[in-house]
Amino acid sequence: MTAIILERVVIERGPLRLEGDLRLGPGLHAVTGRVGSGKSTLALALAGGIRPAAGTVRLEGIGRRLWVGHDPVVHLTGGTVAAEVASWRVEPDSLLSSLGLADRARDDPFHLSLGMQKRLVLGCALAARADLLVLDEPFASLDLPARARLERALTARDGTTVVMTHADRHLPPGTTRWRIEGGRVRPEGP
Amino acid sequence: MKDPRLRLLAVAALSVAAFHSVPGALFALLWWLVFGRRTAVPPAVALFLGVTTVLAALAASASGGDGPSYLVRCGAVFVIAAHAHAAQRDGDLLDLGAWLGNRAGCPRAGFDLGLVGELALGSIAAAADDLERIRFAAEQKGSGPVSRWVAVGTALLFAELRRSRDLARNLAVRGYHGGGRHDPVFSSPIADLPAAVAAISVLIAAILAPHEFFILSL
Repeated sequence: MTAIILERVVIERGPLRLEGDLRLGPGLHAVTGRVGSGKSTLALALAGGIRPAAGTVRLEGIGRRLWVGHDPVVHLTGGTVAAEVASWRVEPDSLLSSLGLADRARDDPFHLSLGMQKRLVLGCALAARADLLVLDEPFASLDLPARARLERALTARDGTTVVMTHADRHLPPGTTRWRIEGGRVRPEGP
Repeated sequence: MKDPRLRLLAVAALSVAAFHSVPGALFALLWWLVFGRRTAVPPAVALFLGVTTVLAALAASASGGDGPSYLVRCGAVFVIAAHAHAAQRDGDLLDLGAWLGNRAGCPRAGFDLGLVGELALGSIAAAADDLERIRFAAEQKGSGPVSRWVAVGTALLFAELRRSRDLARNLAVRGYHGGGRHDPVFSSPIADLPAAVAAISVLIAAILAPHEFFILSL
């Protein structure tokens, strides 16, 4: 059983201030909110990239946390596509075949299109089997078939998955929904 | 200082004075204490600038140069730069460029100059966000310090190039072909005059100051 629990947490970043009491248990959670409401900041805070100004973040049954930003370029560290997959501690051959990138294994990942980079990074993150996976705008830059595949992968994943998104029409049934409004993260119900 | 014209003049004078000599640096710091508002510099940036300055000063000393002098002068330049950055408001550079262009009889060139300045400042803010994300992404993978900084450099360069290309496309799609017309309106410069006059005085004093009066002279 995995969960991340935020108790009276306050996150501050420049002029932005977010407050929330939330428990994100196993399964898929989606956080929505208008542009600039703090979704990306919350994503980084959940993954441990930002320390809250106040309150407590507790992890239950969570060892590895992974965050994937909306721009895949920030994640690229490998000199080739295969090396990039290996840098996530994932076996490249089978993953690249399933992503349709087997013929690009020796290419520089910076030479892939934005959509391919996004598929590559999301594929690696999903295959890395993190206990907590936080995805910031994962549906952006993906074509419709890739979005459908991502929906299925998110549903099938074990552990806790949190998605920050505008595209809530792509979320599968049963997703627990949260909304950021007026600087507070509130539950919206399933 | 609210008037960007006087602010730029003051910052230019203070920067030259601070780098010119140790007395100039001390006068510039005095100006900052009197006129500079409290500047909020992120601790990580302050630490980076401080460590860089100290290392450069040590290197200057080791190679026979005047390390303490370098330390004081560059430290003062960074303080003035931080003040200028904190005082900057959106649109200041566009106003300034357009005003210069209008006065010089080449409004389109002035508009372009101001626009380039605004875009450059915007990209600095975006690059700071990117830097934080790239560093965290590399940390998640357990990359070592050297490979982490190589990754940071590569990804940051690529992200900035792509942002520039996208921005250029957006401008072109919306019909921008270079140049424009803008008639900025500035608030009354009277309130900023004392600070501007003091900054010019600092520059004059730095050039004329008898260096032997100071312990840390060049």
